[in-house]
Amino acid sequence: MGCELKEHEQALLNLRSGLSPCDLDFISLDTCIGRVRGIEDSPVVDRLKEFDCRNNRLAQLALQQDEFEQAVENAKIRYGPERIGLFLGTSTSGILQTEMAYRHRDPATGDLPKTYKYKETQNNFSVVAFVKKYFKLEGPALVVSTACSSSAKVFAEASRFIQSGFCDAAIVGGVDSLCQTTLYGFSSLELVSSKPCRPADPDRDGLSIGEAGGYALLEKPENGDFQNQIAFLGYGESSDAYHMTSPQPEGRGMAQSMQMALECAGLKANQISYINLHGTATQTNDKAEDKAVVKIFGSSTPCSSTKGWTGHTLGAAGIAEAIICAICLNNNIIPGSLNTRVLDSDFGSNIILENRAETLGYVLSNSFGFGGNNCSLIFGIYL
Amino acid sequence: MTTVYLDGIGIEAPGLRTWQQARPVLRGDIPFLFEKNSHPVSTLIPENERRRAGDIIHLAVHVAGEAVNNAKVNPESLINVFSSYRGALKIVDHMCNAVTLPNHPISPTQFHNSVYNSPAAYWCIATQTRGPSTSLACAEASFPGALLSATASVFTHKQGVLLVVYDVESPKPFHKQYAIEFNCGIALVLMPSQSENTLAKLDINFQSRKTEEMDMVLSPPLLKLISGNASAQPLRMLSAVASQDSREIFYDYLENSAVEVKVNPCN
Repeated sequence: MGCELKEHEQALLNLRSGLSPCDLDFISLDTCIGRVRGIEDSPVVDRLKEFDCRNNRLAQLALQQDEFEQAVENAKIRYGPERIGLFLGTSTSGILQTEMAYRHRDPATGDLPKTYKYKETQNNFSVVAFVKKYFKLEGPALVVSTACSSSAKVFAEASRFIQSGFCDAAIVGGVDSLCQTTLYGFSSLELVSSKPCRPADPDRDGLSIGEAGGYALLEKPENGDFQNQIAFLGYGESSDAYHMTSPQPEGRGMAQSMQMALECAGLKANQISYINLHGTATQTNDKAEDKAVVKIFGSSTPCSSTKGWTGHTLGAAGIAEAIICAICLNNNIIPGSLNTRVLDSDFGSNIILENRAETLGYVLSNSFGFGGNNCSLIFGIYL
Repeated sequence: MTTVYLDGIGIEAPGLRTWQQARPVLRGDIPFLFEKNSHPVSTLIPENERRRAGDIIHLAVHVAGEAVNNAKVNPESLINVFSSYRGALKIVDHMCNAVTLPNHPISPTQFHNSVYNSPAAYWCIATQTRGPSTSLACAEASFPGALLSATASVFTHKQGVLLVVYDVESPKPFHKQYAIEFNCGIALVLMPSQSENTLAKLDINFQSRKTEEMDMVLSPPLLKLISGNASAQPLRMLSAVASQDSREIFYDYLENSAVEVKVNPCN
């Protein structure tokens, strides 16, 4: 969809999808992807060059947008670099680097090439190690890696660290980038669509996979004047305890996560004016999520999946959709379900097909991951 | 400073096969003998899933089961915090091999088991645990990082936490890049209040500037275990629990920071 908030806002308002036919030279698959343009030409800064890989390039590209660097520098002055936590989500980290290294193994010994840096690229902590050094932060730092709920759960993690006094403010976010194992892996499960994904459509036939990076700076309301800024109000987390890849068919865990988020925020279901669905466009996810939404919210709360714009950005989906929720709140707009032609007639929730203007109060965003790992977040405008 | 109570321990490492057997070894009453361990097979995992679950899943679920049993708590009442330095590198090895071959034959089972949170997911399925479950990465500091997160969860939610750290032998292509040569998994049940099952009170703190160096209380062979597998780090703390010593332990966290743990044994 582009870089900067502005481009995302324009893409949402103008119904411009970020999906296009897969043109990555390392993938031969008939599918559409949400590819971030310009990663290949944006190596990481020279002082951190051992971290150079597609995932960390995307991490860097994202933090250089929207004066985020300046916001972090200001926060470092206000709180001290040792009082700012760093919590990022990723599912596959820099595995593309390992995939490439496997093509250049020593034919006699099987050793990986000497230039390959496991710890700085493939290891799951790599993105936080990189961003921490980039900003010279000294506070507590972690990667959350719970598949597609990763960068939603960082909001919960950061809240707990702040509440426990381990830090005073936190950078949260997530980064996941396109790679072979993800695309071929989802393809092996027959979950990848050849067309741009169609959430909640009766003919939906799977995901479009995307990549994304994004961040948010979380501060306590008493530490500044945050009037009219986006407020993070609550989170819910649950486990399906059902299956590695299929959600519990009645949406039991999904409903529990939404209910917990409402309780955490101190809100009632009818106070939510929009739900940004996980809505991956697989048969099973969308069906179970519809049941869960109906169970908690009934059939009137407007909801939609924005995966038709972004594709499924996996471990970055939580932050990407949190930012989409922020754009919706700032513009008082409910996004439709891009690419969806008609609604599955079995669905009971109020899925919006076309963009509509509406004054929004509180919005809820869902992110659900493999292994039945669920997370729901609630946002509003701070008054 | 935040306080949690340690109610249960599960362990699987070379020469340390259960908490009960490890206790006198960590106390120094019985000499430590490094015996290389094959990964345990957890019978908690449903039979139809057992064969498909890899070594790292069995290891994590096995030690988690022991800790929960020892703490005499219902796993459904606990929040999960799972962490590993390397995750399922054997699957990474298989998948990265597969994508070099014609038609990229990735196994669907291996693909879904490759997600970093698969050990926690199998645990939830095995025990029907439906609460919050987090899987964290913090490189070599996976234990101190996960301990901070677990402490924050106990404090915030006033609920018990099952903390599990685990790392398995790394596959051959990675041996030149920090090899792990043996399996080690340790699970701790941390509670918000003291009970008759409490083994120790732990006061936990984040220190942005490390003030103390790592203590060297353990015998050299046990220290070797710790340097060979990041998931053996809890042993430093557990030796104080086993000896019923009050001790302050400083874990190297990130760069110059540390996680301080004050161990006060309870019975």
